[in-house]
Amino acid sequence: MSEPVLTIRDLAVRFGTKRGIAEVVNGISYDLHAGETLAIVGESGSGKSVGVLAIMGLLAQPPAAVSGSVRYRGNELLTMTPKELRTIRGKGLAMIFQDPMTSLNPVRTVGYQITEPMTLHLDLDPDSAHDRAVELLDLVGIPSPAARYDEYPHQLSGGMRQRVMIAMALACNPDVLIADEATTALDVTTQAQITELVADLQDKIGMAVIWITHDLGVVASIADRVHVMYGGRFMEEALVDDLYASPRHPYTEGLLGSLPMPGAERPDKLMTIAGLPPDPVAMPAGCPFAPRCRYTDHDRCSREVPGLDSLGANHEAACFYPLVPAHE
Amino acid sequence: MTSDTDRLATKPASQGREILRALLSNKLAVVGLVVLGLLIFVGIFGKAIAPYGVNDIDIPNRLSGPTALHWFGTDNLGRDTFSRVLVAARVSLQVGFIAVGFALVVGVPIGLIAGYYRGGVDSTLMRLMDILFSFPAILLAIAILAVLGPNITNAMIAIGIVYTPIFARITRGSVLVVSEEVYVRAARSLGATNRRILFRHILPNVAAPIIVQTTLSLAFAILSEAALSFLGLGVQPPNPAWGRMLADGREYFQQDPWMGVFPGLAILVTVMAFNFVGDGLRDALDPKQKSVIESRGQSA
Repeated sequence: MSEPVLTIRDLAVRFGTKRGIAEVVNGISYDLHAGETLAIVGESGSGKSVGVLAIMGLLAQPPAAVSGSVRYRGNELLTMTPKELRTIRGKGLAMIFQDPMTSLNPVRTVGYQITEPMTLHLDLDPDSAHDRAVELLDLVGIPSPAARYDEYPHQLSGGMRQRVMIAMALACNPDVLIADEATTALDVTTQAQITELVADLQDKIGMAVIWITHDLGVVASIADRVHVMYGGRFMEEALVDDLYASPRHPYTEGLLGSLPMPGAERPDKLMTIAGLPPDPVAMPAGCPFAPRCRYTDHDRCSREVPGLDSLGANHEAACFYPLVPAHE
Repeated sequence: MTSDTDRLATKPASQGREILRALLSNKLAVVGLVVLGLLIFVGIFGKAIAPYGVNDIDIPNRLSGPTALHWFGTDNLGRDTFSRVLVAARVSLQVGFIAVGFALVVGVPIGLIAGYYRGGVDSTLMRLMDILFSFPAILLAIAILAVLGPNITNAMIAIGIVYTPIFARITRGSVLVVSEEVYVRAARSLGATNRRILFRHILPNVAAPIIVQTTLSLAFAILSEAALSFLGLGVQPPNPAWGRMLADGREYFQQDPWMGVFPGLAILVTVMAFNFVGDGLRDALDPKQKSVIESRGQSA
């Protein structure tokens, strides 16, 4: 395979809090190749958003302390000066956020906000920037884009605003688009439209996408690979079909079991995972999932932290006692 | 997409027009605007309209009270009070605008920087502002004038310094809230510089309270100028100023109350006009009436 666009090694994020040090991301590593879609799945507080904010350098330090390595096309981002980092933000890496209601500036027109990254990164004259912005609005599926250019965010619906956010992120043809819960605040129909749109654009532009979500349904339709995150670590990494067909980590099994599956026989009850996610200030000594694991009766789980082990091609799980594949 | 297009059927007017409409539907604000318009006209053309020269002394007709020839009467030297009130409008407005302009230009950036960068920068700047703020306004202005020397330019500077902490505080408070907004983070994620974020994204979002404070401060600045001139620290005789005329009128109040009444009324009307406009603007810019914030509130 070609050189990855983004290489992340041992990324860790800690926050100093009044109660102690919160270990929110605990050494995650992955590669992202051009054109691929990586989904990072996890429940609230699993560290998935903090992990990507750290990549973008958007965490205020302090209180955050970021360690490890984030290389974009071979350049280390974590040690870059703010000035160098600004040349990559918005141009190489772009991000869309969870709530389209608050992620657009209410006092600036849609056009202003889409042309802004172009004025920052591309040497465009105002006319070509305007034309490109209208083109982008058209590309993200906004009707009568030329008229929309001069409108304010409050004149648009939530789905439209998220489309505008995507247009802003795509303004400089980024290599990597990070979608942080980009569809969570939208209704299901709009959600489907937005995920489809991103997948479409990805084919057209060839960018890689990191899709952060807690919604396994969204993941199934768009991702190539899935990383399941829990307690600031990756629990399982697999190609999307393998993960759905045969989860090898008890946590993944629990997540999938908690989803109603259309077409499948209806179980009396959906599976639940007892307990709460671990407190980042007081992480368990062993496997972060051990206290909630329905299979755990092994001392080892509460003493040692399991690393990711390969369980066949493109499938890894961080469990000492991985589940047996379903189809064997 | 149907839900998207449905919502577009009722397309709201642009923000500026909405605010103007809200302002014009407020009767007191309209009165204030009309009076302000007149005042500015008088401020510019006062010398040309004035029926008499400001220093035309006419001792035989001194302390005349209102007559057909002297609408506001004459003062202790027989000078026409009407002419002097008209001409003095310019200096009052000048002091108001320049002093508040000074406070804006110094105070708003201080508030922006303190609220955005926080930490030590914030503490240092805001404690400095607190020191200024802890003095009674007039006392501080007098102290500054005592150092700089009493004249009208220094009065503008003194009043400007006195009002700077108010703008710094109001700006900082709003910046603290706005800089946490997702769109600020989004702008940063697109590679915007701190300066760009501060002036292009945050400043327009904190403008409303600053605009309201500006109009209200204009009223107080004009009042402060009158007070300083009354105390002999502002406009120096023989140039006319409302505060100075009021002080002169005080001595003759028993003989001829009119001498002090008209400059006093001029101050009253001016200050009230600015206050009406300021109150009207505050209502018009009230976030609860703005659809922008309304829709933001729903999602929160």
